[in-house]
Amino acid sequence: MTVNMKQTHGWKASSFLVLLVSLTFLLGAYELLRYAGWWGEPDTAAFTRFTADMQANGSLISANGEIYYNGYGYPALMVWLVTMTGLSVGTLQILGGALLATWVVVPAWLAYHEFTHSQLAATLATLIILIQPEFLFPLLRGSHEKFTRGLMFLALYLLLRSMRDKSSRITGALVVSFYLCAYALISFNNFMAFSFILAIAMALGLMWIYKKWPTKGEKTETPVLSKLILVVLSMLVVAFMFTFYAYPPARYQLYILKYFIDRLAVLTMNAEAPSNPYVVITNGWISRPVYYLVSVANWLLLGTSLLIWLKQGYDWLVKRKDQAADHESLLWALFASMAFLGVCGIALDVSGALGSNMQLRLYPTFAMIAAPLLGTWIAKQKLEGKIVHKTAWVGTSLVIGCVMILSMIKASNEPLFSNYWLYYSSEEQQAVSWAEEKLNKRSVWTGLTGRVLFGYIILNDGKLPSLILTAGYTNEATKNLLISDVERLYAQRIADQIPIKIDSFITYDNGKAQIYHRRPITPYQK
Amino acid sequence: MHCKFCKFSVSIIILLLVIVVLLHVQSRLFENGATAQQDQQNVQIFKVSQQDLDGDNLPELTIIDCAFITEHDQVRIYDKNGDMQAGNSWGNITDFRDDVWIFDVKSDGTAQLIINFISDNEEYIAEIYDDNNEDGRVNYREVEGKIVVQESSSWHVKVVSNRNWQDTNNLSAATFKFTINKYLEDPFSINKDNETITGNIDISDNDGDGIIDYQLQHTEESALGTELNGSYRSMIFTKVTGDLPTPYSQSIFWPLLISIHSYEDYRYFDHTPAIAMNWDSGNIEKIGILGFPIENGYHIYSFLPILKGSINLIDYENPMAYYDIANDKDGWPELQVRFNVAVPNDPYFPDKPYTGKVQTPNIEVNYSWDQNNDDLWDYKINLSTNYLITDVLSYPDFGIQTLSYNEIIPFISNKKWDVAMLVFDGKPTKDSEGMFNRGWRITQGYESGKGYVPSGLNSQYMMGFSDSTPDENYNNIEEFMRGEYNFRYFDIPKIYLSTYDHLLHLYNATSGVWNLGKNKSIRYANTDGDAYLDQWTVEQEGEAIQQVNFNDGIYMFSGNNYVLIKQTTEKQAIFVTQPPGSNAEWNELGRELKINQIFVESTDLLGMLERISGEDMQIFGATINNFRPYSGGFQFDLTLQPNYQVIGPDWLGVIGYAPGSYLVVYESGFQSNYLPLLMQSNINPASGNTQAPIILGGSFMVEQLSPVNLKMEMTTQRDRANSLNSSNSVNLSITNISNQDSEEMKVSLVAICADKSMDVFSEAVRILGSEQKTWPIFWQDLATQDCQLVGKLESNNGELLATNVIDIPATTNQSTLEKRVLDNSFLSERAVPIFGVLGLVGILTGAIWWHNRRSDPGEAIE
Repeated sequence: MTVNMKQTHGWKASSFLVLLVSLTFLLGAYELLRYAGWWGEPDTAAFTRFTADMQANGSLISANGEIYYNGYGYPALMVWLVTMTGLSVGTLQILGGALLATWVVVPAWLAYHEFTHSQLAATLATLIILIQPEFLFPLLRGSHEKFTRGLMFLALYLLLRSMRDKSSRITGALVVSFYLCAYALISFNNFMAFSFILAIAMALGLMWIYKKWPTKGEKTETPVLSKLILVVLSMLVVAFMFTFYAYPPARYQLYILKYFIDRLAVLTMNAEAPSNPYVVITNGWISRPVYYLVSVANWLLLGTSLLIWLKQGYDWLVKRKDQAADHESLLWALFASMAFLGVCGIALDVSGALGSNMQLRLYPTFAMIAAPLLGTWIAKQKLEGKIVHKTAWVGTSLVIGCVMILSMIKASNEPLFSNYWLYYSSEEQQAVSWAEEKLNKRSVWTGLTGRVLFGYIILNDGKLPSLILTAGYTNEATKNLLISDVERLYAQRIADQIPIKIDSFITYDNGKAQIYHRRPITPYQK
Repeated sequence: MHCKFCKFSVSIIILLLVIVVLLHVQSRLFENGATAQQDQQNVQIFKVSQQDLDGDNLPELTIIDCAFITEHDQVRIYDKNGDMQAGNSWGNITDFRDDVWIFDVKSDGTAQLIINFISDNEEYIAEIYDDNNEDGRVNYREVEGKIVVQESSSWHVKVVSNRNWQDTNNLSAATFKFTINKYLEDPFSINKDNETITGNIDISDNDGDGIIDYQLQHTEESALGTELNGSYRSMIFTKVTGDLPTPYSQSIFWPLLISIHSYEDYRYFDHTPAIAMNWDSGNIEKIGILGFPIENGYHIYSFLPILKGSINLIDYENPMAYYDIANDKDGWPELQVRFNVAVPNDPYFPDKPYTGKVQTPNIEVNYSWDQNNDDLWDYKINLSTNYLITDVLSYPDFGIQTLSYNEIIPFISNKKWDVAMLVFDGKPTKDSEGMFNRGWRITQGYESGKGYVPSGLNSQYMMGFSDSTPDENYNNIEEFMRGEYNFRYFDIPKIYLSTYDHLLHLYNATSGVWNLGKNKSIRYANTDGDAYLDQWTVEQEGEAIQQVNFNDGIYMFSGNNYVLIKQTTEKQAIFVTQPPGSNAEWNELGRELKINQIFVESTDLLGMLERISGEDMQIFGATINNFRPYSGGFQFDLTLQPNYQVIGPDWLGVIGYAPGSYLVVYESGFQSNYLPLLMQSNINPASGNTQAPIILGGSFMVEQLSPVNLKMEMTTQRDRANSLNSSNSVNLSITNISNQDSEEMKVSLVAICADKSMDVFSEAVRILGSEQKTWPIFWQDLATQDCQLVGKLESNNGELLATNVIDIPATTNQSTLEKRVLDNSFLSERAVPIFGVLGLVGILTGAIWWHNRRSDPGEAIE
């Protein structure tokens, strides 16, 4: 009977995983199909450069090339994949960027299984995290994040598994694996790893306090807890050593921040890109209702998980019911620590103390913890009556399917709804190729955003053009402007002006893209 | 027989005794040394002792107790080839061929410098070791009489010469090759971060007259790929007169070894090459030909490399030349010319992001001269043009693209330059590099009390990256300096002596300023566009307190409620000339300046005007503002205060006018500016705004000044209708319908579409009396939105002076736009697969969720 149950569980787990992997593969396929690879996304372009330079220089820190300051892991992995597959860097960044996201499913499911001790809850939690657009977007582009997220899941799995196991040998092996996994995570992005490890350390600390909390029920002991705190704290030291000693470029970026508080916040809360995330709501989408609609998965998860967390906290801390199991209390504590970092990030964003979008970067990590909380709760629900039960499942299945579509629309920056266009046209790249040949070493403005410029870098396997491609603001040095149909439409969409002068010359025209040349004003302009 | 035997025995005994005594004396000599002696000027020798290290009764070590830095230093010389002589004169018993010299400051047993001398096939080599690990000493050990240097695996500097070092009289004709292994701050500015760089210094005779006359410093070819940010890769020092370099009298034993000292107390090529040692740090500080600058000669500092066997295109200070135009041979030049060259695609020019990506070359010239021969630089002409020097100067085994020494001045004098500046230093200084870094340069303006680099003149404007000249960066200059410029000069360099202030000015200058200190300055302007400055304004704390204008032979002074109008036939320039480039020109300019020197305070505009000959009209209780020339004459605003008084001829015809503000217009009646003014009194003070003029070779007209009245008009023309890409040509015009010039204002065009406001155009503007200005502006329609284009004219304090609004209706609706987005984002052509996969994603998600219903929640939770 036991054997049969295990077999049943094993088959179920496999079927769940196969379905989830298939779903993630389809998500990647959609991303590829939607733009046919004509995707000019900044991080994908940047990592194409890092990878190409690492490959060309044969060194993790190339003397004359571009370096990713936060870790060498992703470019190193890409170099290996390029060598193995024979694909070009740009092709791999586009193809692999979308399809390699599939790997996250397995560690995610394993980690959630440890958190929930339920295949059902783990599957639901995995599905919930996959419908989070903020989680999906970085996974489907050519950046380190699909691996950092996967490694985070793996680290959580190893940590939880080591807590559960009674054998000191297995626990030891799991801790060693955790170390390896955490180091890999650090090498992919030290800032993200640092904040993640800090959050785990805070959660373990919280859990330790909870274990001391008086309870009406029976207390459970977790002998390895204090040891795990030491393990995680030692990982903080490893992250620190990596940042300040092992990988010198990591500290350069830290030193450019003037104040200690900035550096501390960057380390602990993983802030990288300077932009205002709150402007996205008003400017990033064609309307506010559309923004709320495509973000519905975020709000659902945020709201429900918070309610569940509060309820659990009330039961365990105020009503002092039976002490929660280790995996439950750790999940609860992780939620608290992630939420704490998130709130701090929002507070700093709003205060303007840092010019970085920390809450935007912290949300996916928070969602990773909130998903199993919600998944467990749903899995525990038992509705009375077969019809009610069935109706509820049919209804939620339809809703979740629709939410997935909305989330995918958001994660892929669907130009019908998004004002942040990432695709470019072949005619635009044709125009750039012409400019490279005819306007050698001169500058060409490529649009209000950098999609054409980033697209060029990806398309040309990380090579920088011989001319200077600019985007965004123009000034008097901007002599040549690439204006395409896509760009004109984009300007119309965001109600902005294309910066061409009334008397400019058209020096190139392929039907869908033109290059305008500004009429000279001084004897030095041509 | 017996006696004979006795004599023989005694002789043998005496001989033996002599031998014993001689041997004893020799051994005593080895041990005790000789008495103190003075061999070199700054080396005092106390004792020379020798030691036999291997028991062959010959010395292998000579120890010289002496003072060359402290009161008691020591030099230990180890013999390598067994040719060390016994004696007490170090010059006779040691050599610079095959000995190792260890210099021990303070005689404490350590070494601050070790030189290993080698001679081989007519080559004399010195391998020099200095401190490498910043402990102030060179670590070594002695192994069986041999010296093993432990400080570093290799020498730091190696010198090879074709002449014996000891033959000091012949060193001036020797060739030298210095090789620098790893870092050396000077001459290459290479620090320890670039310690893999190897530098070379070749010193040789270029013209074959038997006297060394050039020094080339260059990095190894292998270092070319290395980033040497801001460090010179190559330098050339050349002299052009045949004076014999002399060895340093302060050398320390070896003729090339000297201590650090002030290198600008003598000229390069005054002395033979040397190695200057910082004994405190135990480091070599400088090597090669030292001294700076030269009276007749030049040097080149280039960021780009010089390769042997090639013709090299080099940049930066190429060249830096010195001329003794006073012919006084006093060791100090009176003319210094600095070129700052950027070659096509120069990796150090212009600013980012264009660095290294600009084909256009550029030359900056700083031409400084000392006019009164007090060794202080008085004037500087800055020039610039986009030009590549293609002349090749050949050296024995390489060539460089540069001007030869004798071609530099003719090149500057005969070339038409795009930009020119004159800088005068009221408190001149002595500087080995001329006046190049004082006041303005082509690359440096002045702002907020300090030099402003880059000023944007050659790196932006002359490269075509800017539409306007960077005048704002040349609004002021260092204290006590005067600067004048024309950023569209296009002429050969010329200067002139002004008839009005008797100062040298830049011919064809457009603007200038003299910072007199204490927040006082004189501003110069060329208002009529001729070759001469014609407006002098004295400012205190930024406020104009006096002004003189000159136009059409008429000077006008206004200040302290006093107006002086003076007609003159004097020309504006006493003479026009070029900056001096020869002794004759320099002497002539000096003579002219002396003859024409006046002793009037430069801020005393009235005092200077009183020196000008001619008849004048004075008005007490009046001021002049807004002077400006126009094609037919000039005009200004005249304010008459109550109780104003006219003295002299009333050329304006204002006697009898009520106090108030008037516009005075002068129309030139003759072609010549210098015809005497003919007075015709035709005054009608009774009434009317326009008065009958006084004709004086031209005619003045006076009318009441009306308040500024501005009107804005806007028209628009759409290029195509009902299109997503329609655009509008907007003509915005402003008319000043009064006769009074406006203050500076801001004209702008703002588009308001739905709740969004966009800045379309903005410009600072001043509309003159009766003037109309028009701006054509491009506006791309926002196809789906009704917009308003709002033109605004505002004063500098934000007051709205005029406005106009045009409605621009939407050309199409939102659905048309979104349809186009669909078409352009591949959705239309691949709708089926795209929507298919997206649908599949949704279905699979729902299916997985649905699949979970089969699990019994109660059992599922383990």
